Amino acid sequence: MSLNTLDYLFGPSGWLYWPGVVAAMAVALTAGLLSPLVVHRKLSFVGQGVSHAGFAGLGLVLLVTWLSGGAMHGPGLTAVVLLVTSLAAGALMARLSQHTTRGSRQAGGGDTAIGVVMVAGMAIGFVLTRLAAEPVTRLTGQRPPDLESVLFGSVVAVSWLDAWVTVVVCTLVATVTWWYRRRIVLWAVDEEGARALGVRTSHVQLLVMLLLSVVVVLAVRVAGVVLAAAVLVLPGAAAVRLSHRYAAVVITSVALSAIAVIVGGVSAFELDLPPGPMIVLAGVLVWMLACIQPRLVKQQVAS
Amino acid sequence: MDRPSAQPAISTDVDAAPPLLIEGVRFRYQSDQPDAVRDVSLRVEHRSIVGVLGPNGGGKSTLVRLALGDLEPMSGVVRVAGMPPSTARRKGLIGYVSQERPPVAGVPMSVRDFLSYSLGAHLTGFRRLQSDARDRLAWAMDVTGASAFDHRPIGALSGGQLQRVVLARAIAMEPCLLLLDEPTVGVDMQGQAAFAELLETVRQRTGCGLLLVSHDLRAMVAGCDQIACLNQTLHAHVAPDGLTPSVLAEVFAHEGEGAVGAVHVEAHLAADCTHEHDAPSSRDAAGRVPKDGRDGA
Repeated sequence: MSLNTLDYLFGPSGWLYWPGVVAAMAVALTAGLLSPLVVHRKLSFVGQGVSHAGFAGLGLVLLVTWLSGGAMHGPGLTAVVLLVTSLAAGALMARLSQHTTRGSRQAGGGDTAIGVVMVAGMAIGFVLTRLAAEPVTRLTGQRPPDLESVLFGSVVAVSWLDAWVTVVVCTLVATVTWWYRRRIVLWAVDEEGARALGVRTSHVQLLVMLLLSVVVVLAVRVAGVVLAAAVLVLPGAAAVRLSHRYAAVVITSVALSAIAVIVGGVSAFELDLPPGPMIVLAGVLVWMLACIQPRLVKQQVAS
Repeated sequence: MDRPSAQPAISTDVDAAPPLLIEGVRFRYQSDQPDAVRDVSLRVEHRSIVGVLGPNGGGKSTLVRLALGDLEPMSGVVRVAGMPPSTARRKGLIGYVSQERPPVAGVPMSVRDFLSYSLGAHLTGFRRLQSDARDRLAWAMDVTGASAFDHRPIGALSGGQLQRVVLARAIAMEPCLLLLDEPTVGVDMQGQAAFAELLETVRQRTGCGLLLVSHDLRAMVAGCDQIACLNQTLHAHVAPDGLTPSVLAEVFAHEGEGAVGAVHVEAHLAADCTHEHDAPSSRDAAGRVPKDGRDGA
């Protein structure tokens, strides 16, 4: 069987795909690193909320371009607005989930509010996109990214600048995570215990939310708004079923994440399907395999 | 035992001030509600074990949260080792074992890793746990019995085992104040006797002050130097032997004829006349050791 993928990547128009491949891999490795935390703290909803708020951010970018009469546009503006909206959403949800964990179990707090942020972000994004798309096209002469690429990601749309920014930021996120790994992990598995040990858990929580927001913003580019949260959930969810040691879980999670990107990316090229959803489907497949096989591997680990 | 400190002045203060000092504290959660605690004064000295006993809703949890600095008193003073509780907590001077077990079900981490992560929570980057911290941890795991299952995943432990792990963590910090909230819930009589011995060992070795909070008398009587009865306010502040049925009746009066109150009084009477009951010997032994130690000190 000959792989079209290699022909694509090393063929005459291969340069078109490489930035996307590099960015996707960087995001996947970083997401794999944070994924066990997301799984332990049941933060997958936060990933959803942040990415959907990012969608509102994209709508906001169009609005700004429109209102400024076309003077303000381009990837710089997009990146800044996206980061700001996502960080705001991340911080907001950190506060909300803090209220839940502190035991105020009133109806309307915690996950309810995250659900509201999510649908509100989605709706605002749609409305703004619909309103501003035509005027922005007229003003800048460029069509704004179509909805499908926003929702499901577009590897081809990634430029080399995007790719290198992604790599640098991902390295930064990974370094910060490693630097504070002990308190982050302790916060994730036993928040009250961490507080008793003198850890400022609210700071840790804010830090983790910011790291997650950054990764989600980067992942939106590759996997889209709808799927960005998946790269934060699937590798960790699979990895925790495969090992009893935290370090091993993190390494497994990173490896599985990379495997999902390779398998999903290659099959997307081969079958001529969108890579974002295919990567997520590959992640789902990996997770399902991990669910089916846990006992075998656990026995090996235990012995 | 000796807390390594860059600033000996602070270390001296820590040693001089009582591990816990509560004076005239009042707190209410909302302005239209009655006081959760009022006029509470309590002092826990170094090497002493103080039990706080009270019915459900009597303000025990509020007292704990005040001592931890989670709540600020509306009037009065709370000091841990001479400083505000939140400061003391950040310096690792309060060892706290919560009533609730940590939510670690399914967490892929060995007991040993969990404990060393906990003790090194403040470390960053390349820094590793220092050898004296590792020694303290090893001792704490031995004395609590957690070393028997130190390689098992923490998510697979029973409630009792998890309790030991959490206790080991609090002890390994060598805190100035060890705060135990309902430490013997679900622990049988033999377990409680062993627990009392364990507390005695910890007191001897670390010199910390211990505050036990419980609604269960059996947990309190063994090994406590003093017992304070809390029902919104402190009703009595007595040595275990002075804990008479009339004092208890006063404390639990608000519960009326409630089954909980009745059970408590019964449990206490059983503990008082140890020679007439089923499993007195172990409890007796556990109760005697600290008393002798106290007289000598």
